[in-house]
Amino acid sequence: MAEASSSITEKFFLTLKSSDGDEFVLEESIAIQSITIKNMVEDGCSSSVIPLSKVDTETLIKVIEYMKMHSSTSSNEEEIENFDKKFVSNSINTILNILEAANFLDINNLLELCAEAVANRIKNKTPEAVRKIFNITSDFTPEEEAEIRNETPWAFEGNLDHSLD
Amino acid sequence: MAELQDVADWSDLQHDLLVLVVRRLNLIEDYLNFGMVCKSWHYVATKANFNSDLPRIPWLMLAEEEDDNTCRKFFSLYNGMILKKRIPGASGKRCVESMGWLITVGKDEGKISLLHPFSGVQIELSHQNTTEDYYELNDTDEPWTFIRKAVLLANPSQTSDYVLMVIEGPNRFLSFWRPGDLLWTRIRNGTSFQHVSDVVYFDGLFYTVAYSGCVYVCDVAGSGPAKSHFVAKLPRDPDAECYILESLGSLFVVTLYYVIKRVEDDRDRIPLTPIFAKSHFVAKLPRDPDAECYILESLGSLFVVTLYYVIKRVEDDRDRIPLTPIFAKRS
Repeated sequence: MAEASSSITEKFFLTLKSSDGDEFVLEESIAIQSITIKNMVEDGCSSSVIPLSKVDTETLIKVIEYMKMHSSTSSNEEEIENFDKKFVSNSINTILNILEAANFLDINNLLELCAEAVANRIKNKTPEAVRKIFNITSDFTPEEEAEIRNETPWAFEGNLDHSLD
Repeated sequence: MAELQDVADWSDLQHDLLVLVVRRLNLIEDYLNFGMVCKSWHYVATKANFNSDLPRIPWLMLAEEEDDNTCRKFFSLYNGMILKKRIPGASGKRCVESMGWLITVGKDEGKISLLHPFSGVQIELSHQNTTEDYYELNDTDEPWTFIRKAVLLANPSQTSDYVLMVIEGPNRFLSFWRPGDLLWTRIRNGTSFQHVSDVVYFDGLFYTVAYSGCVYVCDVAGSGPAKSHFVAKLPRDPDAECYILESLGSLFVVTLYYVIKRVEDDRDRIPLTPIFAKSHFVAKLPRDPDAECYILESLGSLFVVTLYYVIKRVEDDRDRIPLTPIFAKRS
């Protein structure tokens, strides 16, 4: 009985350090949703600060928010669903940063959530609108672009969305 | 603009992350637009990354336009988009579809081919004049109307062991062609099938319904002669239209009875002509107690639709026998 209660109350904490040098203290049980961090803990590399050189502070805050919501036993399914809905309404730039972080940290459900969110920003858009949303300059030469249009000779007429929403 | 300047250029997003994203684009128009964005995105939008196994609402192929005969247009029932696709092989041809292949019939000479609209692969079939009694039965000067419907037994992209079944000619016979055949083979059942209304491939066999309301099953698999037998006789109205179709593992005959038919008149476009006006009683339709009746409106016409199960999918918890032929005893 005494052993059981001690395992409940005894919490281990990890310190995560962002690429900007900011440190965040997080319960180990929450942090190990990241398979990358879990592996580091199991390998015994977690006694000091865990440096996350590929994740900036702004992104790390979002990732921690997500992991807290998705690990907390008190959050019910509806709460999580609402949180996820609000989460994907972040700016596309933030979502893409989180997507990369989720990939690096190996948090599969966060990776899927962000990939879906990115895909949803592309659906029903013209290539020109997608370029603006993702701040991409077309690197096709006019010849290459003509060739692509020729090898996939498709054209659409209809209500494609030109807006950047 | 200031806002956009802070944004990173996302053309260099990692390849495997781009793959995760592009695999979530299930509409072909979104998928192809993705590949037009930039080079690194183009390399990700491969055929292999497109989820082609999903069931999709088909695109309707529109009639050829007079001014542009190398392109054909397709209408999406899903989102109303029109897709324009260059299909030079379909130029000047009448097309019907099966398993993603077009069966094209030449407008001038009546030559029949299988054409894949994407790969451009074309398979020439025996000419329509190799069907039985072609010259006695076909006095039409419109050879492109020869085939009413075509159904493939297997996908020619995947096997050379396939059969193409067609409803052909003014008498609407059922004939088939196999790779290597020099002639079309007509399906016979003592008397030949005539006035075939519809045909479908279901669970290894072709099922067909005739204007008489008779349902037949034909087995053309294997090298022996085609076998066919009578399955059921449905109540039949000469005004009704009959279709046979598969849905969710069941096979139905659907009959359409017009209650009100939209008539288009060029001068004043009277849209509705009540066929059974001035009475509360509208019509008595032939009725089978096993059939299900629905009344519905479409494009200004009012129909009664009757569903007759030919084969009903029954799920049994213990051994899940998937198919129960309802008319098995009668055949």
